[in-house]
Amino acid sequence: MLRRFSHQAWLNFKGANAAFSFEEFTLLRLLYPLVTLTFYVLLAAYSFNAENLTHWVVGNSFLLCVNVSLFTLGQGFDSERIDGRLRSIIVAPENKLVAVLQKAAFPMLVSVITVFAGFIVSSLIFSVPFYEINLWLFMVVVIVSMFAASGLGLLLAALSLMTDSMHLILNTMNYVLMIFCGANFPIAQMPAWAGVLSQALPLTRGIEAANMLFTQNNPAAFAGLIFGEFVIGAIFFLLAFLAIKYAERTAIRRASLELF
Amino acid sequence: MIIEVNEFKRTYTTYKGWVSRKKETVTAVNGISFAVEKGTIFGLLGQNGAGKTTTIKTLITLLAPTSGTCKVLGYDTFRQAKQIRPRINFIFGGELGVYRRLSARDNLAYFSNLYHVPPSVAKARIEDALDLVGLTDKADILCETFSKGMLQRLQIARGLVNDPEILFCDEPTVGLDPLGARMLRDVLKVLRGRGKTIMLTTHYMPEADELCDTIALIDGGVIVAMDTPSMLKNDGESLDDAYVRLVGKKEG
Repeated sequence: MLRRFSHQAWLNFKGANAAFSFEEFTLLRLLYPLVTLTFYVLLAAYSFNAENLTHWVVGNSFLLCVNVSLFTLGQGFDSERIDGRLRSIIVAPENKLVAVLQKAAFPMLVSVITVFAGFIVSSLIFSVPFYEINLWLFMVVVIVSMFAASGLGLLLAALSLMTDSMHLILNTMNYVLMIFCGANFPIAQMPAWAGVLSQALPLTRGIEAANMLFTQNNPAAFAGLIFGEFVIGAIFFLLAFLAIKYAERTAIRRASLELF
Repeated sequence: MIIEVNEFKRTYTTYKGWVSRKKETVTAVNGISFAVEKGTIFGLLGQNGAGKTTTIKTLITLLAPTSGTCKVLGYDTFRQAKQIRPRINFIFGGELGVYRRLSARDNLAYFSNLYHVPPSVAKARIEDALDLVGLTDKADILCETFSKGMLQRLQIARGLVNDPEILFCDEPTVGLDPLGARMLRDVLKVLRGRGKTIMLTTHYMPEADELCDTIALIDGGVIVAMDTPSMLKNDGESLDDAYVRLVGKKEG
């Protein structure tokens, strides 16, 4: 089963990237995340007139990394529909959630590596003392946060069986995360309802935990945040599992799987 | 009977307008019934929009009937799709449906994995399918370089990766050159020889005449005639003539 999963994941990745040369692939995966990260950190630096940019480097490197999970998973069925392959996936006995996860496995792995590299480079540019923290723990935070965001991505993928407006849904969700997960704006300064919303989103606890690595040594609080992020992810996975079964049956009733 | 369709009806509902929403319902298939015997080729012929593709999509579990029942291998296509899916496959006409940036071999490996075919079985089956559709020499080339006919032949091979008991073919020869179309007909005959059941829609009457054991003519969502090709034809008449007589009469 694991062999089949990795083979499918590799074929998906190969199918999506075969058109790029090595140089193009490297630039796309390294340079683009780095430039985006730099843009948001500079925006924060001038908006908040801050000298210590650690918080924004950490938060935005997380956001970039997690966006890959969110978008690749969320668009999983949509791209298959456009290329006429959705019918093959639906009619095949393969679990539909697994089919979408296979599509996202390698992009997620690559994004962990590239954004981690981007984090190191931007830390050097913006004088973030990354060498003072435990990078392994930082990696754990990234992975758990990606797990949580993957749950949300899968839930959105289920929606894509019933609608063809996934660009609207994914872009809206992207900005919801940007605003409410604490990467760019302090949650403490938001209204109470926004605070509640932020606690229901993936990433919020992950970003807080990552920042904690720089600001304080509190293993219990750190573990609590990581556990909380994991639970949020597990809840989204469960919701996605239920939603995808409902969405498939609804799509078959409504004839929304393809353009009939 | 391996396929049983009873009073099958399918409608599509759309909504128009922003302020006052108008509901529009189109009936694609309007209460058709037929049965297909195991190991035979059943042809469903009709004009564009007659309801052929809707029928096929319902039988392969992609659509739910609005009313009536559709059974494949004894299972209800909507409520028991899980039992049907591993045992059937389909070939749709056109160039969509494969990964353009994968080779033919990789494409077939991908679709074999979707059907949980064990690697050793898949390997032999992929080689067999590539050979059957004449793509062995081009198996490791990216599909984006393939011609329309080659893509269509790959679609045929894709439909065989799980060794289906029933193969549903919706206009599979669309875009194929004469040699490609002949090859497909030969493949379908080979499959029938192996005891497979095939349901075929096509606009090419000679093809239906050559392949089908039974033909149903569908028009406006209803079956207007159903019999063996020879019984549908009058003396000296081609299937084309019979089609014009039976469907054209209604159209006129």
